[in-house]
Amino acid sequence: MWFYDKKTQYPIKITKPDPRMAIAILTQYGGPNGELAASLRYLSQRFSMPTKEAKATLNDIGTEELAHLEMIGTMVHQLMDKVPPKELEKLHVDTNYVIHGRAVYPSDSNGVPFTAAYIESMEDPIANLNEDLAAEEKARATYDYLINIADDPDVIDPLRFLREREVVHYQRFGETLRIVQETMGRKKFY
Amino acid sequence: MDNLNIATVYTGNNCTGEPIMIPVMPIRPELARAYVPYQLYNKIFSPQESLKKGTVFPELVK
Repeated sequence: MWFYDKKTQYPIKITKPDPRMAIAILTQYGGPNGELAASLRYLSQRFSMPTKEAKATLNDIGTEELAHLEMIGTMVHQLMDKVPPKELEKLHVDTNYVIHGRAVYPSDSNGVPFTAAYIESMEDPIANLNEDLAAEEKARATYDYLINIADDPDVIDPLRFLREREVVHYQRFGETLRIVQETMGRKKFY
Repeated sequence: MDNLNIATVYTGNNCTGEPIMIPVMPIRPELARAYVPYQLYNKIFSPQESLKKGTVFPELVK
């Protein structure tokens, strides 16, 4: 069960529209290394985790990824909102406009729709946690690329926040892997 | 302050019901396994600084 807080995890207030940046950021909404994929991955894998700490970690991080999804959606919306269609055409984001208007749709930046094929959920917790570590690094790298092409501090600040969360999650999945390795009857060394 | 030999006490293992010790790094690591150092609790940022940085832990700012 979930409770909803009517605010974003990190404040987002973008005053300068930038449709091209909106489409770039869109990949973190519904792309292969995006927040939706991350959330569904962890929330699905949690059921077969062998310890309650591992279940709790996946549940908490999977939940936080939904908050990140909301942040990304907010950014895409604010960057696109009220931009005239002719302006969108000039900026070469008209193909996106003719399909979805200025709505937020879960796809990557090229318009490829979200698919569960981006994620895996296996009974083997070691396999899952190694995927999760890789997923955090791929998302971290994506945020690095987005920060490289962004120039508005109102856009860069939330991207930096999200990038740092990937680093923290990597650490937590690493610790979860240690716990699972120790409790799955592998050789003890203490 | 953070000595790599310090072990973290970890309780609540629901496989055996007993607490287990997890060293910061494994004492005898096995081949073909991935290990991340287990974090020890140190100083933390203020709530305002944490929101700005994205973490309460200074050692995780990367």
